[in-house]
Amino acid sequence: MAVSSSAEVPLLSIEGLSVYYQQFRALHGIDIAVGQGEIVSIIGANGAGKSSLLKAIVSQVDRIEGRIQFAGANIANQPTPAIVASGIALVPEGRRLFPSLTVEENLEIGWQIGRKGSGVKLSEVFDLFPVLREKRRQPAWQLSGGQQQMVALGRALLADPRLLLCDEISLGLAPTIVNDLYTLLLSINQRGIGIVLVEQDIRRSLAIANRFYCLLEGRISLSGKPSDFDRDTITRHYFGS
Amino acid sequence: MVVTYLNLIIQGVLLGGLYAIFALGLSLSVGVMRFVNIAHGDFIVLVSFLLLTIATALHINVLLALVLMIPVAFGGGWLLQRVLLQRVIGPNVLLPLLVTFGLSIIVQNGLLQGFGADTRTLSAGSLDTASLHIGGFYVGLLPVLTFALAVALVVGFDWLLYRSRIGASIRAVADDVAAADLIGLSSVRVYAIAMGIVGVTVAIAACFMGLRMNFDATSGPSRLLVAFEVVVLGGLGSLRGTLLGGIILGIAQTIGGQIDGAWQVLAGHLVFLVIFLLRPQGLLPRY
Amino acid sequence: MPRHQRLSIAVGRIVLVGAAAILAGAPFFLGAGDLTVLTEFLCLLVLAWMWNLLAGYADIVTVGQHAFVGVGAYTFYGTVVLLGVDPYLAFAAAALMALVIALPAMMIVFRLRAAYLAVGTWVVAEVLMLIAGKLPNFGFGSGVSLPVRVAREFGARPDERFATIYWLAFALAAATFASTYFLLRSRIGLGLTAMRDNEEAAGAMGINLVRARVICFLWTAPFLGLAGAIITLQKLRISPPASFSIIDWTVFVIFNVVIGGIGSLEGPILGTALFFILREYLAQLGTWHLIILGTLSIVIILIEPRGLWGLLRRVLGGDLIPVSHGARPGFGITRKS
Repeated sequence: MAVSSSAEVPLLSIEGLSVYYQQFRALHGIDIAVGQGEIVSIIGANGAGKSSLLKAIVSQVDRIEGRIQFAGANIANQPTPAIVASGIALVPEGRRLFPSLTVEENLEIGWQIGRKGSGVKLSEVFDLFPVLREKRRQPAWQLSGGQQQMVALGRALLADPRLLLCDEISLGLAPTIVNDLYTLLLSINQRGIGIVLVEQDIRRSLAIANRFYCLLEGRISLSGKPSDFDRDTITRHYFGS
Repeated sequence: MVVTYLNLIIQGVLLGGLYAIFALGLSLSVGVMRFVNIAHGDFIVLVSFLLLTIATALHINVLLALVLMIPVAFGGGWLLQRVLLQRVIGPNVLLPLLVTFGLSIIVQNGLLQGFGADTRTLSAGSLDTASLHIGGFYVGLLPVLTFALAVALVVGFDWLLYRSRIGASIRAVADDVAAADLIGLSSVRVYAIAMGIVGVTVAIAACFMGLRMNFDATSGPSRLLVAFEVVVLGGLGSLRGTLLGGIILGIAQTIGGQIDGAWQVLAGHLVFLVIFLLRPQGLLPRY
Repeated sequence: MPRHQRLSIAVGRIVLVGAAAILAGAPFFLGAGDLTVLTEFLCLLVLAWMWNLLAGYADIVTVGQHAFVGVGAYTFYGTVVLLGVDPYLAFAAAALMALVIALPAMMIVFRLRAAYLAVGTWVVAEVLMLIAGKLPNFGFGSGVSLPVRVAREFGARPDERFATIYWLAFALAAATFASTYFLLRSRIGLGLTAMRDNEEAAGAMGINLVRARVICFLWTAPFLGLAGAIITLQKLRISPPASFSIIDWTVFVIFNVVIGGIGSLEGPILGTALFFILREYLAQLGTWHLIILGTLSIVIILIEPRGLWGLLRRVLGGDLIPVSHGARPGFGITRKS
């Protein structure tokens, strides 16, 4: 298993992870590692198990087998709040903002769930997403899709994570907005925050990833540096043909 | 004649303050945890008996007993949610209804067993009979204080829910409990805190109910019905609506009671049903 | 299904049919005292089946079912004593009146969202009880006794009378059981069962769920009214607190169904039978009786929300009285991920 050169001990290491929903098995004993400050892209077709992987990391699936180590501690089967407080923040699929809360209140939820004594300030998030500063008093449901995605990202950032899990953040957004979001992801990464990117859109996520894993029917079909493979190889492992 | 009715309306408004206090806790538990606590009224009566016991045993004023009771009530609500109700809340509304229904019967009969069937009241010393002379009307000091407290509680709850950090997480969980759990905002913890707050409102309601009216071991259901009617009349989740609903019910009962003592309760129910049929969403709906 | 399970279900069915046969012939070999208890049992069983139809299938948790029992009782008294109508016609009047009252009640109750509905039914019941206490010809709040001549119409001698009342209760229970069984096996029942297990599936079946729930709500009213009339005939007295007794006609009934098993036809039988057995031992404990029943029902909900029958079903491998066709996985409580 290739481990990022930027650190000797990976920030997150997953070994032999299987995920079950009642009788259904979504992941079959996969191994994944994410180094400090690394961007790792998880690609795969619909139903390949990408979201299950992220949900398993934060203990939001029915049952798992295998080991999940984060910053040297075992987090498998820990309660979600404890995992988030230890420094893993999830930007969930579909953003999942709280519609009746204002933008600012939604962001502040990040403080409550995050690492104790989170040093991230609201103003820093507003500096990253200036448009949110104007709309801070508005209920979250009034925002456009792209702005809501910024709030979801900002909420995760205020939790002061060492690892950010992004589930389909470009889904349903206009291409120019997705470009902006990816630029922001890079600047977040420059703060030393590791990022796991789950996307169906391969091209864009591979463009910024240090490494990637391709999932196919709950198993890893290909992994490595994006530059090591040509497009056809990746597509083949993506669709399993 | 006019003066009589004006006086009745004043009495009714003041009674409405007490009813609003009954309803605040119920409104919070419905709004956040999406279940109606059938035992709400019985918990109020239970705490009234506890206040009576504490005040008698320690020879202290019942208002001081209330101050001692508040942290206990918070802990009681917290514990009840954590130990029992958390296991049954979810998409199926049947289970919490049945569990709180069971609790209601247990509390009523436990009180009968422990305190007998006698009617009781609480006393706060000279406050019981003190009265104010305002603009040609004599009104009791206690009802005025109760009403002022109701207004203060509504304002305080508004602040707690819409200005404080714990309020934001309570509303977040009420909005989307699955999303809260997904991002690591523990709904279990938030629910327990919310139920603790409900416990505090129950303690306050218990104290002022006991000072204002008679109660016995089986008074709980009628208090629940009042609280329920106030919540529905006011509009779900509306705090100011709770105050308005309480006032309407208070006036209806006071005027009904004037016509014929036996009509007091029935008049309240009938006014509730009529307004509900005309405006099922409540008078000041929040959404 | 394994062979031993098929066998135990067959045995269970034989026990059930045998019990029904014994009940059908009870007046031939039981005395007046036992018959009175059995009459009460059958009436409570009817109430349990009706509450279960609403809570277990139609998703309507009512805490106001005693209202229709009371309406039946008062209508029976009114038609038979005040109007001098033939007592058997008075039964029809009791059923009809309960249905008539159920219509406006339904308008109120169905406007309330799920969690509120329960307390809404309670308010309606409270109003009806308070109104009953204001009726001058019905003895106001203290109620009134039935004249002996009414009782005589059901038999000159007391034991004859008790037998007739027992037959009436038996006929009511049989009719309730048979008609509810067919209702649940009809398209309406199938739709409700599907809704309980999976709302989308029910929608896909093209069943109007609101209409199905309304039909169930109205369905229960005449049966509850008839039970109220029979109870009145047995007790020979009406009064607001007794005829509209929330403890007797709602609280006990809810406990019986919850303990026996919601969402099956066997559960109410099991729960009501257990209630009568326990009552022999617990009734003299007074308030403890209700405390024990309340605790038992909460414990059962925590262990198995489908009650004792839910536990037994696992052992037997199926229902004795199969209502839904094929497997039925949940009761709305399976966790979705």
